[in-house]
This record gives sequence, C-alpha cells and structure tokens, in this order.
Amino acid sequence: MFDLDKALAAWRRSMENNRAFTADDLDELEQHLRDQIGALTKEGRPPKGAFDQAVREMGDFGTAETEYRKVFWGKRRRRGEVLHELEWRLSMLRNYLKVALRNVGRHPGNTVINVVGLAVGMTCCLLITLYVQEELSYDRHHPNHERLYRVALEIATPSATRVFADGPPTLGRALKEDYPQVEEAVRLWALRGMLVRRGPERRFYEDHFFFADPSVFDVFDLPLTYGTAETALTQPETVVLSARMAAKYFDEENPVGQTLTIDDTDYKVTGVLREVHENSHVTFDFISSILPVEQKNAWFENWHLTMFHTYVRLRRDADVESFSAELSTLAERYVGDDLDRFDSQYHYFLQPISQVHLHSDLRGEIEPPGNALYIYVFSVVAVLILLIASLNYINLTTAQSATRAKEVSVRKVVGSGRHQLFWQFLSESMTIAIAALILALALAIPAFTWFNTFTAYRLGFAEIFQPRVLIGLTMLVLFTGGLAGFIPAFALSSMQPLRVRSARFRSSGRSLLLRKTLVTVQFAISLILIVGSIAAFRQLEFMKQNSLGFDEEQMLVLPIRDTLTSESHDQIRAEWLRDPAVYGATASSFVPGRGVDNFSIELMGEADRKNQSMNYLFVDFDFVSTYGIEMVAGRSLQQDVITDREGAFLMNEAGLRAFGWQAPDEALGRRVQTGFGGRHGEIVGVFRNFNYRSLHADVEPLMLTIAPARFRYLTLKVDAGDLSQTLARIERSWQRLVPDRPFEYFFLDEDFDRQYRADEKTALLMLVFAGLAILIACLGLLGLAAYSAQTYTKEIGIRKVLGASVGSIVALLTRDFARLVLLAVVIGTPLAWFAVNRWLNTFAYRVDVSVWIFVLAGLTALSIALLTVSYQAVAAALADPVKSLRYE
Amino acid sequence: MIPKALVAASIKPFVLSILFEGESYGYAIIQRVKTLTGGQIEWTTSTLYPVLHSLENKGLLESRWQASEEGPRRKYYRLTPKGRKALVREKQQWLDVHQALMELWGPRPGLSPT
Repeated sequence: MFDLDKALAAWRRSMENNRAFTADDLDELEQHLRDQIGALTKEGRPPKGAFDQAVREMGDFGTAETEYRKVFWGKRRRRGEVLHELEWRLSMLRNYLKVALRNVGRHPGNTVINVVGLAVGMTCCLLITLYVQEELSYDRHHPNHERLYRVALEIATPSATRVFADGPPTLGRALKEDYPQVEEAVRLWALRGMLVRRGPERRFYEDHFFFADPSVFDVFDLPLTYGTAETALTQPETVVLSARMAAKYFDEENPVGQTLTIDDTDYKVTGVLREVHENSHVTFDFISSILPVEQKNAWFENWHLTMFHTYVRLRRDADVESFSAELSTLAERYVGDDLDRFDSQYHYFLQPISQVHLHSDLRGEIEPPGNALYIYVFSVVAVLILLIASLNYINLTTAQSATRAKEVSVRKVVGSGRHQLFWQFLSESMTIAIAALILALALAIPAFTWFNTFTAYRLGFAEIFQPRVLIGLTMLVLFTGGLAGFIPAFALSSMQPLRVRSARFRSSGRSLLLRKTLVTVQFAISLILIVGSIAAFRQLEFMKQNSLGFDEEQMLVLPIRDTLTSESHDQIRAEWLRDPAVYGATASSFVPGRGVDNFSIELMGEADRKNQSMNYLFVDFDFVSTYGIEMVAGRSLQQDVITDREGAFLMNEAGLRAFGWQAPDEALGRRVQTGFGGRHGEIVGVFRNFNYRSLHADVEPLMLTIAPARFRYLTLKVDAGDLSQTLARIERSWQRLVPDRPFEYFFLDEDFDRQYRADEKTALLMLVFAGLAILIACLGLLGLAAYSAQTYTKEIGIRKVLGASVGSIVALLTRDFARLVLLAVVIGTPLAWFAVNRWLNTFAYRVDVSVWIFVLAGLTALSIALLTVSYQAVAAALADPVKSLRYE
Repeated sequence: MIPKALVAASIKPFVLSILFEGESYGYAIIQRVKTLTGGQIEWTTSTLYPVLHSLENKGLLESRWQASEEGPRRKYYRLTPKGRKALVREKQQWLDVHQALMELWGPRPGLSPT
C-alpha cells in the first residue's frame, strides 16, 4: 500500500542536506506538493500516480537548486544569518583543507611528481621572467631617459656601408650649437687597457676609462658620494672614480684629493660615484675631462674619425622625427666637399638610449650588446614550459582522481553537494600548487646561482620580492591550481553515484586524444633539443680540435699593450730566447682570435687601381717561423733585407682571390699602396691561409707587414715540460726589465677558444632545456600511463587469470606509448634536421649532421619514455587480479 | 505555446497583480495563472518560488505562516506598500509596450490569427 506521508518524507530527506534549500523552503514546497496531489486525486488518479506526477511537474532538481541559489544570500541577509553562514563556510573550508592534506599525504609518490613537475616549471618561468625584466630595464634609470638618444653614424662608400656606434669629436659640439632641439649633449671617449697605478703594489690595466664632457653628470644618472658634479671635471688631469675603483685603489678612505697614476700621468681624484647601476650599456669606472685633451689635439676638428660616443638629450617639445631628418644631412653641411671627393655619405641617426643594449649591435659598441632574440625565445620558452607543466599537472590529477570515484560516491550519498565536492578538489589542487610554489622558490636559489655564474649575470634572489613579481606568482598559483583543480572537480562532482561502481569514470575520447597529442609534441620537442645539444657539442669539439693553420699549442702570449717601447721588448725577447725552454719569441699587433687592423689597399701602376679594404697584421720578422705558417710562394720577411722593414708585404691565399689572381706567383712583385700611413711596397711572398678569426667565418684576405710601433703582443713558443718553472723564469726577467708593468699572460689555444664561449653557452643552454623538456615530457607520459593503467585494471586482471605473464602485460601497456614516442621521432626528425642545419650553417667550418645523432636521440627519448611508463606498467601487471576483479 | 522569454518577463507583473487581489500562496498563484491564460502558462515550482523569495528579499512582498490540517505550514504572501508602487510602475510599462504594439497592429488585415 502506498504511504503518501512516507513518500513525501523520503522526498524531503533527499533535499534536506542541500544548503540551497532552507527548512522553510521545504515546508513551502511540501505543502505545494500536497496541494497538487490533492487536486490530482480529486480527478481520480491513484495516490502513487498522483505523487509521481506532482514530483515530476515540480521540474528537475538541478534547475531548482540553481534558481534557489540565486536568492540564497538575499534570504540570509533578510534573516540576519550572514555571519552564521560565513562561519559555516569557514569551517567547511577548514575541512576541505584537512581532507586535501590527507589525500596529498596518502599518495606521496604522486604528490612528489606533481609538486616537482610544477615547481620546475615555475622556477624556470621565474628565472626567465627576472632575466627578461633585467634585460629590458637597461638604461631606463637615467633621468628623462625617454628623451635621451645616442647619435650613431652610417657611412656609405661605393664599396660598402658600415654603421658605427661612435662618431667624430666634432659632432657633440655641432649638435649643441646648431640645433635648438638639443638640450644637452655629451661625448664619451672610451679607452681600454689603461695602466692605473697607486704605489708599488697596486697596478692594473683598467677597461672602463672615459674622457667625457662635464655634462656627463647631467645627462647620465651618476650621483656622487664624494665631490661635487659641477666642479669635478673643470680642471685638467682630474678623475672621478666608481665606488668599486675607489675601494680597489684606496680601500675605504675618501680618495678625493689623492693621486692616481694613469698611463704615466698623475691624476687628482675629484669625486667618487655612488654604486653604479649595472644595467647600463656604459659602465663608468674612471671619468676624466675631455676638454684638456681637446685643447691639445688638432684632430678634434676632424669630421672623419669614429671614436666618440655622442649622446643628446632633446627638449621636451622637440619633434624627434623632424630632428632626425635634419640630423641625417648634418655632415654634408660641414664636410660636404670631402664627402663628394670620397664619393661617400654620412648619415647620423638617433638611437633611443633604452634600445641600445638590446637592439644595437654596431661597430664600436662600448660593451658587447645583449640579444633581443634571446629575450623573445626565452619568453616563449617560459610560457611554454609553464603551460606544459600545468597541462601535465592537470592530466596527472585527472587520471589520479579516477581512483577517487568511490570516495565521491560515498560523499554524494551522505549528502555532499556538487559545490562542496567542487571546492574539495579545488582546495586539493591549490594545496599542491602552493607547495609547488614554495619548492619553486627554494629551487630558485641554486638556479639563480647557476644562472649567474653561467651568464655572468647578477640576478638577485631578493628581486623575487617586488610587488610585481609577487602578484605574478599569486596569479600563477591561482591559474595552475585553479585550472588543474577545475577539470577533475567538474568531472567528478557531476558524476552519478549509482553509475560509479558499474561504469568506470572515463574521459571522453577527445580528451584522451588531446593528452596523446600533448605527449607526442613534448617528445618531439625533446628530440629536437637532444639532437640540437649533441650537434652543438660536436661542433664545439670540432672547432677546438680543428687545425687552424698555425701552431697553437704551447704558445704563451704576453700582452704588452702600447706601453713598452720596441727597444725594451727587443731586449726582453733576446733574454727569453736564451732560455732553453723557449723555442721562439716574436711580436705582433694582434694574435689570432684577438682581431686585426683594417686599412685600404690599392695596386700601384694599374689602370683599374682596385681600391679595396684589407686586413693587416703587423708582425716581426720571426712571426712566420714562430707561428709555423706555411709559405706557398716567394719568401718570408727577412731581417737582413733593409726594404723589408718598411716596404714588404706577405699576402694570404684568400687575398689572391680578392685581386683575381689565379696562381700565387702572380702576386709576387706587385706593388701596393696602403691606407696605413701611406705605406707602399712590394708583395714578396704568399702564405697558406690560417684561421685568424673563429671558425664561424671564412678566412678573409690578410696582409702581413712589419711595424714595431704597433706591436701589442709578444708570443713565446715554450717547451711543454715543466711549464711552471719556465713561467716563473719568464716572469722574473719581466719583473727585472719592466718593473712598473703588471705581468700578464695567456695561452694562445685557450684564448682562441674563448671566441666559442657564446656557442658553449648556447650548447649548454640547449642541454639544460633538453633535460627540462625530457623531465616535463616524462611527467606528461606518467600521467597518461597512470590513466591507462586505471582503464585497463580489469582487462589486466582477466588476462592474468587466463594465464598472461607479467612481461606480456607490461608489453601490452607500453606498446601504445612506444608508438607515441616513435611518432614523435618521425615528426621531430625533419624539424631537428632543419634546425640543426640552419644553426650549423652559421659556421664557415662545420661538422656534418650524421644519421647516428638522430638514432641516438630517438633511442634516448624512447628508452626514457619506456622507463617512465614501465614504472606504472609493472605495478599494474604485478597487481593481484583478485583485487581488480573482486567487484565483477 | 508562449515562448520562455515572455513567460519569464511576465512573472513579476503576474505575481504582483495576483497578490494585489489579496494574499495568496504559491500553489494557488500557479493555478490562477494557468486558468487566466487558458493553460498556456504553467509555472514550475523552481520558476515561481525563487521569484517569490527574491521579491520578498527586495521588500516588495511580505509573508506569514499559517498552520494547516495536514502536512507542514503554509506560507502566504501579500503586497507591501513598496510592492504596490512597483506594480503601478510595472503596469505602466506593460501598457506602454501594449499601446505601441496596438498602434502598429491596428485595423490591419492579414494580421489576425487564423
């Protein structure tokens, strides 16, 4: 017999625990049902039919809940229950957290994987963000930096166009005098290798010495600790020091009024800069006034030099575009005749000072510039890493949450609402995300240290604690935690408790496809990076091993700068040559890897004089023999031939091609006129090409000629045995003969390889990224494997009961993943091949990309993938089938 | 069948107008509307009750409970002075729309339902 009261009570109970409905609401609704049932029975319906119809006509539960929730807070307010409600919610929140922590603790393995994966992603992102921010902040600290420009110079001649960061000494004055738009202008003359001495024990070569107009303190942000900016540079032979130079030469005392000897002249210290901003493209260590130098030198009137970096600050109301247009014709007004005669054009143009560091790589930059490309690449990488790490985390969480279907059912049966379940899952993912953030911050300390030593950068850990970064981090946690919690929370909380036990919780085929795609893409990227790293290291090895065409081993090089007279280095060389461990000693303007000079050259007595630019190395007679350079025609330079001292040239084979000569013999006896002080003479020999620059570039034409005044390096060929003894002897004679100069030396091969430091960084960076990519890809794979092990639990159970071996089950589970990784290899290989070849093509001398690199990279990716998957697969295969089949 | 949007838009004027006649309760209101519209509009509980509660929250309605012979108490709603004002406003708006439409439809052949 149908009992209406019982049926209504049961109906009421199903809604009692839902906080959307108050007891009053339920009273009202029940009374409504009773009215409706009464009306229906009056029409003659049986009681049960009337009840069912009445409940049906009330509409579905979901809509009712949603509609009632809309008026929820209004009701609470009307009844003055808001505080009570909040209190209740807070206690629920505590409960969510408690359960979240329990769940996190119950699966330590999964938790570790989740937290580590996310933390690594966050650390990378953090590091890259700060690096990018630092790079972008260059030269933005100067007052009015948005009106501050450097004036650069483009020189176009019929044969070439060159762009210089520096210009003539006349430019600064002309700008200030001729253009009302220019508020202030300053010229900097940057000098390197200045010998600075104080007392007998402090003597160093310094690289950041500047002659500057006194307006330097006005234009740049250079506050002084000691001295005053207005008077610091008014006297000749005065110098302002940076804080670190003051500490280096004067310890903690105030150096103002003291004396420093710079290149044999005594300078009085008139000021000390406060701690300098490191992120500027100019680092000032010594600033001296340019005006006394200007008065002494007539060439300060020369418009054709490129030596001075000129900066202008424009007026607030200046129109930059029209000023730029006026500027480009500036040189024509002053030296138009000269330019016509040279058939050249000088175009001055403005560079915003904040753009100089990243967007300007001209001839004569003060410091090696940054690379804007790195900024773009790194930013993309940061976003990608974070995105992939988050996606993997979502994948893993979703897969793992399938195991919790039973928990969810029980919760639902005892009256947990969707919202409560939703918050439950969200608080779990937030807990993990916050844990990941803490770990990420901890990882940031070693990561920053590594990054700083590796890049000579100075990212401070403290920089994390700026509001912008902190807000970013909070957003990051909310984003990853929210996203990762949202999807499983949504999927699980909408599950029907009755169906959980029979039908397994499954993702749709589309989301599985998405996961597979994600894993494949990650492995393809990993493969590209592995191939890239291998190729980069092989290329580096190749460049270091490759014969350069001269003796590079056991070559000891001593920079003598231009502070030694030729007599004194003749004398010291003669002394060293008496040492049995020294096989040869020579002098030159540069050594390979340190650059060359460039002047023009033309053939004398030819109709077409073929004026072209030529690289020169100024050497001593014994250079060719000491360096073991092979002659292919003619003779070497000889000491006993008087004309060789001034008018004999050797040319390399590349030079022959430049002049269009087929055989070396054609060059012999030709007379040339050079742009180097008008020196002219005869080509007496041709030597085989040697690499005087890095293997990035082909060997360019080169001439050797004698010019002792330009010698800046001594090279000794020494015996390999007992090097320290030999070095000690060499140093002793240096100290005796040139007591006031620091003894410096380096080995030629090591110094030459320094040119590949940027390439080494690229290779190392690629390796690090490859490692990260693999790590992250494995996490993704792990998620997928965990998911598939879940899905196949029953199948595995049945197979085992029917006699399948552990091995066959592992094979079954891993086969799919092997296929994904192989697909990744197929996709990644052509991309990797293309990328690696493009990179290698930037080298004039390069290794070939052989097949084995791809095989090795593919096998590495595959084995790492299989190892990862088998962690899950073996566990699944070993599981007791009784457990997995118990409920069937 | 009257489209959903129009049903939703007319809930408030219907409820206010019915309660203007005197106090009433949810079930009776639904029945009254059903009769008035010849069965064209039949609200479900999840449509009507949240609206009643929201109007009550806004102070347009007030309610009282009355014990009943069987089952729980019954909740009666009636208009407040504020609700009365709202009804006047509501009525004017509906009449404005109505007026405008009538002008368009006036004595125009071809627009009568067949």
